[in-house]
Amino acid sequence: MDAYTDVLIRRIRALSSLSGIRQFSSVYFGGGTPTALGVRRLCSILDEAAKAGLAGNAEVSLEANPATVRPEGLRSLRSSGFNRISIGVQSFFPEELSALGRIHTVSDAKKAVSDAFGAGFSNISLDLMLGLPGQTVRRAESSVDEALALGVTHLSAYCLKLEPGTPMYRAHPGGRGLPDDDETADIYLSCTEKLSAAGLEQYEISNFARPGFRCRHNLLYWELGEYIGLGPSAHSFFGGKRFFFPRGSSFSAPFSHPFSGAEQENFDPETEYIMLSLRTSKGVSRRRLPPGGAELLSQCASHGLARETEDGFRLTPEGFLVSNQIISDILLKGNTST
Amino acid sequence: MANTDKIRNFSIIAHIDHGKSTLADRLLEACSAVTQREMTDQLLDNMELERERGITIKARAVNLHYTASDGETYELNLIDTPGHVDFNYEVSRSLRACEAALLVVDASQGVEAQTLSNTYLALDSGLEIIPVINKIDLPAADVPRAKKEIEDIIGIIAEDAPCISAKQGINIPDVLERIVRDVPPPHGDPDAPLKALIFDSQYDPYRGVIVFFRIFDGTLRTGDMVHMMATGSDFETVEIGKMLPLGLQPCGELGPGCVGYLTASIKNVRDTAVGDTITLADAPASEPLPGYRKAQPMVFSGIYPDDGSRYPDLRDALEKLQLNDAALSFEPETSAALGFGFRCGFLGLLHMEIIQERLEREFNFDIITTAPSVVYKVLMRNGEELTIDNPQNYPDPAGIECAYEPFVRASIITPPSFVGNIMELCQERRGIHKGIDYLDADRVEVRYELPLNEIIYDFFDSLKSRTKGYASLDYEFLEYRESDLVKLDILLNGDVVDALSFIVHSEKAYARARKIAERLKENIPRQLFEIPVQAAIGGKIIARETVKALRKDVLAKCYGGDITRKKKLLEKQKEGKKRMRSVGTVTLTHEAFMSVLKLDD
Repeated sequence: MDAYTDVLIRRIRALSSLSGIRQFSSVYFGGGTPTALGVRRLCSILDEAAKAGLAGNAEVSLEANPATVRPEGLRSLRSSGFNRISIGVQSFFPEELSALGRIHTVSDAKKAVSDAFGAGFSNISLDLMLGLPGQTVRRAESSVDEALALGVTHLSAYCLKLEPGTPMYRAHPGGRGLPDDDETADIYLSCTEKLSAAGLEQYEISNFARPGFRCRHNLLYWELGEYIGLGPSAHSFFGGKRFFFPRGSSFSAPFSHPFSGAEQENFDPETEYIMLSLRTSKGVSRRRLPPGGAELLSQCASHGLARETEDGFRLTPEGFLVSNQIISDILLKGNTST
Repeated sequence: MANTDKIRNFSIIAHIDHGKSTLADRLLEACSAVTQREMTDQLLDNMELERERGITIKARAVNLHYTASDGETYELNLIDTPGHVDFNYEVSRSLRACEAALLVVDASQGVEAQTLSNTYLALDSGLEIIPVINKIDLPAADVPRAKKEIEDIIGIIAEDAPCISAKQGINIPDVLERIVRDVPPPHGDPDAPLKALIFDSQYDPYRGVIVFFRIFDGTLRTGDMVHMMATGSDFETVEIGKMLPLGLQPCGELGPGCVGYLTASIKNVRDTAVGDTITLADAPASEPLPGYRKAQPMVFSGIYPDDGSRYPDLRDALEKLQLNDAALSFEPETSAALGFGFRCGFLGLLHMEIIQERLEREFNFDIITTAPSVVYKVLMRNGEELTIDNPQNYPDPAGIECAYEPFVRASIITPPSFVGNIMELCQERRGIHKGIDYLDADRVEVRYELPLNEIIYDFFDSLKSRTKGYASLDYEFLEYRESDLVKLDILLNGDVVDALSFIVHSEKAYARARKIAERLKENIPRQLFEIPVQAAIGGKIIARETVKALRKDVLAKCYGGDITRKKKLLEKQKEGKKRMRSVGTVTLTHEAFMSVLKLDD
C-alpha cells in the first residue's frame, strides 16, 4: 500500500505539471473503498495534491462506507483538510442492505453520520439506492426520511441497475423480484418530491443538495471541466483530451512518462455537452441543440418531461427518468442533420 | 414409330413423408439408371428448398428402362407430382399424363386427407390405381390395417398390394413387376394431328424454357413448328427428347404415349402453361385436350425490401422466380408505411411461403411482408365490378352494392376424438357443415365449405393445435359467395397505417379489432409519449388501446469522470434508432415493426 501511495504521489506530480492546471478547486477520493488506504496515507496524498495547487476554498471529498470509519480517524481527516464526506448508506432497511451484500448495519450508518458531524464535518452526503428488491414507495420514502432526520446536506439517490456478472443480477434473473420500471419510476418521483420539499434541491438526475452544498467535483464532470483521475480505471480530461488508466496494474507499474499505461479516449464536445447538460437542473442551452432538438424538447415540455429555462430546456424528474430516450433522440437529430 | 405396348406411364401418389421420393429413388436404382455414387438422396427433388421441406415444388418426369421377368424391356415414365394442396391443378395435369398411379400408403399411418384427394383426382382422370404399402419395416407398421383402409376408404382391392420398405430396399422388384403388369399401355394414333399435354415447364438460362409433355396423338419431330392451343403462341422446336435420370437425351421424334421435352428458344414460362395442348402449327388438332385452366393466384400479399434502396433488386429477383413459376404474379405497389414494394399473387399460403423463403435464401433479401389477403369481388352501385386483392383498394362502403368472397370445399381427416374440436373451429371460421364420413373405426372425414379468408388466417396452426397434429386438411376453390364484408383500418397515433388494413366479415370485425388492438399494444414498445392504438371501420372507432408512455430509461449513475462509457451506451441507442421505421407519426424499431406486421389473427 505504501508502494501504491508512492506511485500515486509521483503520478500526481507528473500529471499535474503536465496538465497545465494551476489550481484545483476540488479533490475527490472515491471509487471503491479509499478508506482502505488508512488515514495516514490519505492525508499524505492530500498534502501532495495541495502542493500541486489547491484553491483555498477547495472541496475535498472522501467516500466512506459506514463500517470503515472511526471517530478518531474522521477527526484526523477533518483536521488534515478533508471537508466533505460521502457515506454509502444505501438503505435504512436491514433486508435491503443484505440484498445488496453490504456488511454494515443501519446503526453503523447512523453512527457514521453522527461521528462525521462530531469530527467537524458540516458537508455530509448519503447514498441511497432506489428500486431494491421488495422496495415500495413507502419504504423508499422512509429511508429518505431517516436520511433527512440525520441532517445531511447532500443526498445521492441512484436507481439500481442490474449489471451482468453481479450477485444481484444472478439473484434476480430478468429483473424478477425487483420493482418493475413503473414501480421504480414511482419510487424515484416520490423521493424526488420529498427531498425537494425538505429543501434538498435536485441538481442532477440522482443528486440533491441544500443550497450551497452541491458537489462541485461532480458538477465539474457534468459541465465538461478539466480533471485528473488517478488510479486503475480512473479517467482524466484536460487539454481537450480524455484518457484513462485501464483496470489492472498498468497504473501502479513503474513509469517513464506521465501518460505511461494510459489509454486515450475520444472527446466529442457536442455529444458530451448534450448528454451531460441534460443530466443537470441547469439544462441545455438552446443554441447548442441540433436542428429539431428544440422542437423535440418543446414536445417533451408539453408532456411534462421538460421545462423551458432562460436560454433553453431542462428535464423534469419525469424527464430525467427517460433521459436516455430523450438524449439519444436529440443525438439522432444532430446526426441526421449533418 | 414403335408401338406403345412397352410404354408404362405412371405417377406416385403419397402423403408428405409417406416415402414417395424414396420409392422413386429405389425404382431408379433398380432400373440401374443411376449408380450409387451419382445418387443423391431423392434425385427428383432437385431444389435445395424442396429437399429441406421434404416436398416437391415442380412436377418432373424420368424415363427408365426395365427388363421384366418376362424378358422384355419396358420403357417406364415416372411423372412426379407436386405434393401440396396449393398445387392441386398441377397435380391433376401430371396425373392426366399417366395411365396409372402408385398409391403409396405408410403402413404405420394409413390413408391421409391429401392422399385421398389426390387419389380422387387420379380416379377422375380414369387412372388405374396400384396400391403399395410402404414402411413395413417400422415397428408400428400395420399392413392388414393399411390394406383394409385402402379397400374401405378408396374402394380398390389391396389384398395383393406390394408390401415394401423403400428405405430398406425391400420388395422393390414387386413394384416394378406390378407396374409392367397393371399399368395399361398408352394408346394413340401416330398419324393423327399432334396433341401433347404440357405438365411442367422450367426455365433454363441457356436454352430458354424446357417444356415437359406427354403425347396423346400424333408425332413430334425436331424442327416442327408447334402451336400452344390455349396461349396461342407458336415456336419452332430446337430440340426434342426424353428425360433420362442423368439428363436430357435428345432424339429425332416422339410418338403417342411418349413422355418428353422440347426446347424452342421460349423466353417465358407463361407461354407454356401447364395444362395447355401442344399441336403442330401447320396441321393443328381440331380441339385441345380437355381441362386447361389458367393458373389463378388465390392469395395476395405485399412484399417490400427491408432496405428501400433494394427495390429494383427485388423486382429482378421476382422476375427471375417468375421465369420458373407461371403461378407467381406481381405488380408494384406503394405503402405509406413500407415504401415501394410489390403486390404478389400466389396459389396459396405454401406457395407464398416458398417464394418468401426463396427471396430470403437465394437472393439474400430481408423482406417485409404484409398479412395475406384473398381476392374479393365487389359490385358497385353504379354497376361497376371490382376485383380487390389489396385491402388498401377496398372501396368506400357507401358505393358498394354487394361484395363477394371466395369459398373453398375443405376436407379434414381426423381421428374421431377430434371431430368436436374441428367442428368448433370450422364454425368459428364461418364454415358450412357439409357432412361427416366415418372412413373406418379410427378416422373420420369432416367436410366443410369455408371462406378462404378464414383459412389464410392461421387456420393450419389452429387445426394442428386442436387436433394434436393428427388432422390433415385439403381444400379446393369452390365459388364466390355474397358476403357482408368490411374493411378494418388500424390507426396509430390517429393515423391509418395502410399496411395493416384488412378485410373481414362484419360479424367478426369487433372481435378481431379488439384482438389486433391488444396485440399491437403488447408488441409496440413503450415510447417517450403514449400511443393510441385504434381500429376503425370507415370513420368509426370500434376498438381502442393505449401503449403507455415509457417511464424509465436512465443512466442513474454518471460520476467518477468516465464519460466515454455512458456516451457509448447512448450512441448505441441512437444507432438503434437510425434503423427505425416510421409508421405514420410513430417510429418503431425494426423488430417491433416486424412483430406488428406479423399479427395475423
